[in-house]
Amino acid sequence: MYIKELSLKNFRNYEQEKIHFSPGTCLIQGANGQGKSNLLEAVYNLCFARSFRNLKESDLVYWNKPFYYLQGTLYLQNRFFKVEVGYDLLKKRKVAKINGRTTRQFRLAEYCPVVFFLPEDLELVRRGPEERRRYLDREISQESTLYADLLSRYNRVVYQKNQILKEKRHNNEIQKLIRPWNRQIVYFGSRIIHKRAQVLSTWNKLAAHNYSVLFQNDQEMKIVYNNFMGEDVLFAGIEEIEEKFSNEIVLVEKEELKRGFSLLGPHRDDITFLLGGRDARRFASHGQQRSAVIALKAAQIQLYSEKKEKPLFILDDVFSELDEWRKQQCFLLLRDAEQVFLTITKKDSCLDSFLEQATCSSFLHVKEGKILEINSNGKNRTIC
Amino acid sequence: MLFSPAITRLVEAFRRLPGIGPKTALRLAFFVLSMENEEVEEMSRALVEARRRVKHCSRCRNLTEQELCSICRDSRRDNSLLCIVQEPRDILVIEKSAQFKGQYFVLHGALSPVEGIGPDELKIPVLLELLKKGEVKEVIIATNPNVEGDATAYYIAGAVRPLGIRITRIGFGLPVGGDLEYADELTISRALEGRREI
Ligand SMILES: Nc1ncnc2c1ncn2[C@@H]1O[C@H](COP(=O)(O)OP(=O)(O)OP(=O)(O)O)[C@@H](O)[C@H]1O
Ligand SMILES: [Mg+2]
Ligand SMILES: [Zn+2]
Repeated sequence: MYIKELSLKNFRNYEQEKIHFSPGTCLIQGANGQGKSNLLEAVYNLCFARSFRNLKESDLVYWNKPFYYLQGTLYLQNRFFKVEVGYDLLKKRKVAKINGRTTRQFRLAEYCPVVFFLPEDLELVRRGPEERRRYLDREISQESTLYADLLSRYNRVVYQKNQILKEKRHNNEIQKLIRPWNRQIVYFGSRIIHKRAQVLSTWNKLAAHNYSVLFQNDQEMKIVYNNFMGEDVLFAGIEEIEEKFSNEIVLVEKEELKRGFSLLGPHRDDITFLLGGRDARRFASHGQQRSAVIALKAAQIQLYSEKKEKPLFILDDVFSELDEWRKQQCFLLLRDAEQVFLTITKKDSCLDSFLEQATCSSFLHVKEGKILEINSNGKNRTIC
Repeated sequence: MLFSPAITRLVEAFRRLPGIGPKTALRLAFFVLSMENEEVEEMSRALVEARRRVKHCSRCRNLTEQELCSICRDSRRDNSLLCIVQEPRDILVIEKSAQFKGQYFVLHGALSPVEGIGPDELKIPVLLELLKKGEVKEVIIATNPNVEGDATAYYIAGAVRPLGIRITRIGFGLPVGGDLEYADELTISRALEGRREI
């Protein structure tokens, strides 16, 4: 998949711009605060009709303007799609159109293979369990609207159940009050756990391979899924998970009442990165931790390329964070994507040598919400 | 204050209605001021009287001006079937499909601990008293297909099961996350046909 054309109207700090792209690498250069991330936000918005930074629609509108409007052409599954996304501040109305037709459910999102890489992702290994869970959910939700739906229902149920537990009414009615929610925790929770287990085991296989190839390290990398069933979950079907879950949730009832919140379920899961069999969060160097994340990103890109089609890869600010050696390994990943958007503040020699090898690349210079210059390195000239 | 106190008060009154924002409230207020005196008086009488006269049916908690609502008074209806709904408007939707010939019970909501709505607020004890009379042979739970509606269905099923009454659930055939109100008649009749035991 790639983006062929993008026009922005009143989007973040862009008043009006129209840009043509080609497959390959698109380098977005500019000083801090000029609009590089905002351009990536627009690219993401075109594919998913929502913000990747979870910004509110009203925050996407250029200050003091009444609306924003994005229009673009995507190449996906051997076809071109004309996509329009916009938001009207006064009417508080969001519109999303595909090939001129208004869609209430933005189905295109399910088919768009997009992987993005943000500076905070680099710290995934050393951050808290909540951030790792959020990462996992973000990535899976992006390709599965069913998963996103299960997750939002599940979270609602946990929120409702926690309210009952918080009130701490110790009478014999309490079980009757809790069970209708537990039943749904088990139903939605088992499906969430099952999906996470499936996704993690595919990530795991490729990521381990990538780690050994990219970093030629003798330590073996492994991602472990921590959940109430342990490793058994990898071989279990949904029914089996449901059965175990419904048995175990009864056992924690007393403890939950005492503590005042839900103790069992996917909202407590985590993932552990192991390097050479040891928890990377506790024992690996900062650089090794980041390498593990790069290996994981590579796996995600490869999975898309294997399954449907080569993905779009968005990297914001990641390169400035990496040393020469990891930068070079990261460049290797770019080859597996159909189109790459990457932002930098300054060009450097390492990047130059990569761009020379790249089959096709274009270069945008961003200043104060304007695209100042565009040129490409030849084979596929981009004109604005 | 831009407008006189009386206008402000009227605007505030309209704003309390669901789906009415400040702009619409202002438009409605100005419209009322342009109406004939008698018209406005008739309108305010309609409001006051509806509020005073309409109450919950003592049997099914549907809205009515009498002790029993028209459905409960209708002798042609099948008293052995009882359909439990969240809102009075759900009855309208099911009645339009003309598939269901039994009686109803209206909960006026769904279980929602965070909003302080428990079984007592939904008058589930009243429902159980009704069922203990023994006339009802099958209960159909038609709460909304969302997490609160499902929790309510499971809770009622748990409470009714000891009475040995058959319990079925509709709502699965309806659009996911949608409310009964928006379902078309065809989906309702299909859902009624395909009701499932829980
Ligand atoms: N809704 C908006 N309307 C107008 N301008 C906005 C809006 N939202 C953000 N901006 C401006 O956009 C600029 C930030 O752009 P962006 O985050 O894309 O910068 P960047 O080029 O990625 O910078 P850095 O290199 O620091 O990451 C800010 O200076 C901010 O003032
Ligand atoms: Mg930025
Ligand atoms: Zn009645």
